[in-house]
Formats: sequence, C-alpha cells, structure tokens
Amino acid sequence: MAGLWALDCLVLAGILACGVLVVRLKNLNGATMALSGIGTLMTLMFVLLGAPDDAHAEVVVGAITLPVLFLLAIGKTRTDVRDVGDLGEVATGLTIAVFAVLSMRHDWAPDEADPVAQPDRYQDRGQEGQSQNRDCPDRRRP
Amino acid sequence: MITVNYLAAAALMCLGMYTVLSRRNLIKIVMGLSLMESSTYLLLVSLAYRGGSTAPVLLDPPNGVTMQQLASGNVADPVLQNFCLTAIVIGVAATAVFLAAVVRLAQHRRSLDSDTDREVRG
Repeated sequence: MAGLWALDCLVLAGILACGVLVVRLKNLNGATMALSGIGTLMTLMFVLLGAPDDAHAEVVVGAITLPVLFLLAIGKTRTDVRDVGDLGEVATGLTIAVFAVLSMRHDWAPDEADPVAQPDRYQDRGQEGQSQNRDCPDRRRP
Repeated sequence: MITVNYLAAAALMCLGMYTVLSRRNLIKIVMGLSLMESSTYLLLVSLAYRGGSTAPVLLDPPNGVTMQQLASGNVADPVLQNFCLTAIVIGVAATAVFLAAVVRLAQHRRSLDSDTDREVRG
C-alpha cells in the first residue's frame, strides 16, 4: 500500500511538471508534447486509482487524439491561405448553391450518361462549370 | 493520502487558469483550457477512490466477500468514474471546436495574438 502511494505521488509530480512545461514552453510543438505527457501520466493515475475504463478513454483521447488535434491546428495556422472576403462564408455559400443548381439540372438517368452518344450535353456542362468559376475567381488556381 | 490528489487537481486547475489569463497566443489559451479539463478528470477519479479499493469490474465477489460488503466499500465508485468518462468525451469535442475557431481566426487575421484581434475583444 505504501508503494502505491509512493507511485501516486510520483505520477502527480510528473503531471504537475508537465503542466508547468505546458505553461512555460515558448515552442508550441514542445508544449503539445508536454500535454501528451500529461495525458499519458493521467492514464497511469487512473489505473492506480482503479478506473481502467477511464484509463482506456484517456490513453486514446489525452495521449493521442488531443496532441494530433493541436499539431494539426498549429500546422494549419502556419499555412498561408488566400483570403476570400469576410471569412469566406459568402464565397463558400455561392459555390455550394451553384453546385446544388447544377446537380438539380443534371439528369442522372444511366442510359443517357454516355458521352459518345450525347457529346453536346457534356460540352454544356463544361461551359457551365466555367461560368460558375466567375463567381469566385482564383479559388481553383494556385 | 488521497488529499494529495485533491491538492494536485487544484494546482493543475490554477495552472490552466493562469495560462488562459496570462498568455496571448490563442493556441496556448486552448492548451490552458485542456489543462483545466485534465484537473477535472483527476478530481472526479480521486473522489471515486476509496481506501484500498479495486476497479469496479466484477464477475463474482472475491473469496469470503459478500455482495453487500462489496457495495459498501471494496470497489471504487463507478458513478463518479462514469462522470469522468463523459467529461473526457465532451472535453475532446469542445477542444476540437475551440481549435477550429482559432484556426479560422488565425487564417483570417494572419496572427495568433489575441491582443491584435480587436473583433474578439470582450
């Protein structure tokens, strides 16, 4: 029993040390790894305290999923994206609306879907695709 | 002895709150919120623990122990552990939503500094 409490205090010290690292580290990736360390140590603490189901959830979420989410977010904030209007919601909505209209106008009958039999139909769709590009210019160009 | 766990949970909560209040990097703020969530997990599981108890996974009672004795203190409290499980699942979803908002804001403003984001000031 004394060994269990010694291990308990050790794991608690590790958790607090990792917490201080999360606060103090300037490097965001390093802070994310410290957060992952907190998740791992918390798993060990749950096993010590008799909660294996929580330990299972915590090792999946706290030690793996959360750091992956943070690393993805850090990577995406460092990528340079083209700024389209006010948060881009208007352009996205226009694109969705154009696609919805196009798919409603398209007849999905299988016997008519042969490009050899009806080449003009597919030419029409190509022109419509170009016209819907006019709404949000440069969105598909690098 | 379990008091040490309570104190550690309080310290972790204070660390997270200090991060949220003092850092200006938006991702660091979300990390502080994650720290505060972790302190909640620690507090709930520590509350569920009873002295010398085992995990509440029971096929049969151990030798010489009746079900009545088990219910009165030889296993950890499964109710609080389930609270903790729910908190873990909700916590990861909330963190994902925060991070999505931060990424969108950072791509729009080209800055992770919360001090330059005039529109999100309270």
